Amino acid sequence: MKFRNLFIVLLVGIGFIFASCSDDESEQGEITTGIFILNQGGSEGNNAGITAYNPETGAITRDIYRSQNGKDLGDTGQDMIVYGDKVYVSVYGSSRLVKMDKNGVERASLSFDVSTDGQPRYIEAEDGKLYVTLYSGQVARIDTATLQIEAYVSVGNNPEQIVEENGKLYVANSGWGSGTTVSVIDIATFKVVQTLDVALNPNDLLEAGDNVYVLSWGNYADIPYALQKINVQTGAVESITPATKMVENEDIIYLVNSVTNWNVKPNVTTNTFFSYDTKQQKLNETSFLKLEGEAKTLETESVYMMAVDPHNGDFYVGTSDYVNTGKIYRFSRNGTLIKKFGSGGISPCKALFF
Amino acid sequence: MGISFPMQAQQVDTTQIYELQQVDVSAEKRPSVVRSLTPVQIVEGEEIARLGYQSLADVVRRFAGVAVKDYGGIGGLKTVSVRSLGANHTAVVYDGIVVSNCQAGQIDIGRFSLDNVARVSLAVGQESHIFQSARMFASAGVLNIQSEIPDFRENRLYGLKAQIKGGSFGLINPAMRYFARLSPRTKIVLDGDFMRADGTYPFRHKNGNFMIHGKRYNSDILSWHSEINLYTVLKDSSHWNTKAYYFDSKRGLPGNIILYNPYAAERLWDKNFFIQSGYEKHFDRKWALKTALKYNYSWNKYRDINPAYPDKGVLEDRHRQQEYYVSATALFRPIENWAFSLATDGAVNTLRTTVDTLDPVRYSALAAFSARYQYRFLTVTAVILHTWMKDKGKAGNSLADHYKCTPSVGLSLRPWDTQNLYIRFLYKHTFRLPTFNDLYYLRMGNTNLRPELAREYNVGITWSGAPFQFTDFITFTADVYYNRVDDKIVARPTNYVWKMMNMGKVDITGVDLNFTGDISLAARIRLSLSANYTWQKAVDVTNPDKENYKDQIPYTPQHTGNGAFALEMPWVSLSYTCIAVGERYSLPQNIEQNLIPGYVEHGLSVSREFEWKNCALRLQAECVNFTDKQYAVIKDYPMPGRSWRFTGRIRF
Repeated sequence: MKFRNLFIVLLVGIGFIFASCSDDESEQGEITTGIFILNQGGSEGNNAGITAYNPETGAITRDIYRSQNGKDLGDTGQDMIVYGDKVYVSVYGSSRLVKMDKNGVERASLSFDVSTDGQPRYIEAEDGKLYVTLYSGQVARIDTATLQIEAYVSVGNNPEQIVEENGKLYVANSGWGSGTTVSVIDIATFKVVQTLDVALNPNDLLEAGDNVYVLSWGNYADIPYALQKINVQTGAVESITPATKMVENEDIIYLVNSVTNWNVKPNVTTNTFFSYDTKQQKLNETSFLKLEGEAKTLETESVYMMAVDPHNGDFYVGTSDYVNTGKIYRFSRNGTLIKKFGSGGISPCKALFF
Repeated sequence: MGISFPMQAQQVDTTQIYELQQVDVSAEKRPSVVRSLTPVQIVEGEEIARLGYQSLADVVRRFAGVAVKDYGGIGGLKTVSVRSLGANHTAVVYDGIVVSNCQAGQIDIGRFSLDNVARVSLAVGQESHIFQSARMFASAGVLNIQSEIPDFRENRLYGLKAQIKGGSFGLINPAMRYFARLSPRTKIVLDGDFMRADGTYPFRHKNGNFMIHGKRYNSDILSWHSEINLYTVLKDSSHWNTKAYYFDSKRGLPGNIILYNPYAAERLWDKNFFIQSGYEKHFDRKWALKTALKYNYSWNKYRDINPAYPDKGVLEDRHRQQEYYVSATALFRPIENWAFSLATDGAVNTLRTTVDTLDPVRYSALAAFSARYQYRFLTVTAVILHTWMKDKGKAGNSLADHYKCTPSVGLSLRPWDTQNLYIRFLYKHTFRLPTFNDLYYLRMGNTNLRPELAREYNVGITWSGAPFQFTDFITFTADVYYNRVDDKIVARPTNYVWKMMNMGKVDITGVDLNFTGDISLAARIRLSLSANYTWQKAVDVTNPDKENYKDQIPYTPQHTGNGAFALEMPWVSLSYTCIAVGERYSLPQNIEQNLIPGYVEHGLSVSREFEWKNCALRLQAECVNFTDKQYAVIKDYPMPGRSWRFTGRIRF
């Protein structure tokens, strides 16, 4: 075990240490030395895990949390963020939040009381605090140093993603498919200051070009998925396009729209990749990925994750069939497939770049 | 089998249908196991008691080729899959009538009490005889539970049996049985039993390098079961039997172990009432008829508490199913060596749930035409079954309909007159209809589903005899089989929505070996041995591009074995049982992370019976899992470690 630990540290860890050291330098010329991929795992499967990927060598360490800590991460990895030199992971089924270093060594953890807090979903960090959405319809403010809950604020039912913009937190109230609002919390007072009406079932949020974008999932039937822009200044909500997953880089939102044709047997799902320039407010229907050769299979698989390496613009698209090991497609900035590899766990849902 | 009349039905088999066959002394004990065209395994009630089996699931999991999914604890769900075909392909028959569940398609065998069970048998394909209802031909496997009809010794007018069981995890289970002769031709049997248990058993669970020592909470159960049985022999020697059954339970569902989160609040309430009545008449040597009627009402309520539920943190679902069932079978033996039967069944099944408002009603009709030919060394049975079903919604709109014809052929050969050795072949094509859940459950249901197909091929050899002076009998059976499942109904995610689809294909190859033997060691000292072994390769052949292509399907060990050993002596009876299950996978992909280790579980039982004039007292003590092996049948559902049970029974 010792030897294995050492090996892992050598393999991925050193890179992270260098990356951490270079945090203060300008982003220019910085390279990504390590990537963490969170595998959600199967529902009630206790098989969430983090795969470490070295983009230079292509080396993969499956379940680095387990190798480093000698125990499992838990059930249903929901979200993972990097803040300062620490990584924070919310584990929904296990109802806990884990704080670890960039080598995957656990530093602290916080358990949420299921009957009062509800289970944790997504995380946002700002000024030394974490903001975690809880399925009890609350957002908890947690101090990153102590990992203790300092305060709660009530939002809508089943809040999902949370994002900070201009001193405010935006929370998507999914209501388990019945919600239609985004709550706006003032960070200074930690109170809800505004509740915005959006399309049915809001789940995903991101910040781009000083505005907030929300992706609502509809009802999986006649009400479609919808990407909407929230004007942070006015609170106005404006519909843009149907889409099922999104990621942002340099003020461009990269989107995929997965549509299933229920009229053919067996049903076929087709993924269309396109982008939206938030500065010019323009949709670009040209696919930002070249789905040819080994990448051809991405046309029909369930896209579970989209991520962009902030340092070089590489795209990482994860797919899932919910039971087998997921796949990661890594594309260069210009959309050419670099590599396709197993994600090391079920349902890859989030990637961090160090 | 006749409704609630196993004894009589069996007589029909041996004396009338089988009458041309030579009677062999050794086969008297278990005639059907050796002669059966289809692989069948039988455990008698006496044996169940002697070996100290805990529950019906405990009996069934020891049959070769069978997998019982057991979610642990007394109240945990238990379903039976025969030869890896899946639980929906197994029919469960209680006293002659198939128990149905159109909503889920699987029967929880956890609710059947083992007290007063005369016999449990498991047949692959179908039971060997042809005088049965059409539904009994319609599954890939049949688990048959027959209750005991009390015998009225010395022409007594009534009898009473009282029993109490108690044991680990707060188990208390008193049961009463009263039986009386109402008239020379009519018997009545009243049963009642009550059970409660805390179910909070300790477990050890590994998390990486750490061992968790925990307790199962929210695992309690409280249940009540009662029955009234009427057995009547009419003046023309026909039989008429009626059963009224009521079951009521409430229990906690502990769920699986979730690491770092012990919270569990799911509860389940069940109520089930049915009344069934069967009539059987043998007109003459050529004609016989049997009919049956049944009404079934089952209700359950599921409740979970979690602030995640938008509706005040509570999720409550209620489901109500009803069934009206009628069956008639005619048996015709026009000439020597030939027998024909025509069985027709009709049923109406309804479902009402609070989950959605579809309220489907299913109309189904089954007709089975069977022929049987017997000539000295040869027996051939052929059945053709026609199934028709139609689902309608509340508004009378048509939802789904299917019809299908499926054949089965069985053949048995006895090559030597002097040897009690049989060779058997079976081919059976069956299917299972999509359930209400498969078709209509919220977004997940898919009304375009086709039936899931199963084909079974079996070649077997059976032998029975008394080769040595000290052996009363020895029975040996070996079967090799190949099964194929097509259009398997599975839940598949599409566009982040799970949907039921006809997507799976499974190839199953297996070998089942069974051995039983009785040895008389001295006067009144007898040793019984039984053992079986199953080898099974059940692989997913759905899609060559998938990671799990040709991987062993979940929860299917390659090796399984069982052994039982009972020593009957005048002063005390001792028994030892063991079950060994090899490693298996919890998910389709055969990778280390999905591997569940194998286990061996041992049990011990000691019993003694005392008799006075009109009264018999039986005392029994059992130690289950005496090596305290910590194992799980289903991943993260730990089974109890060592536990104890004591039983006292008195009969007047």
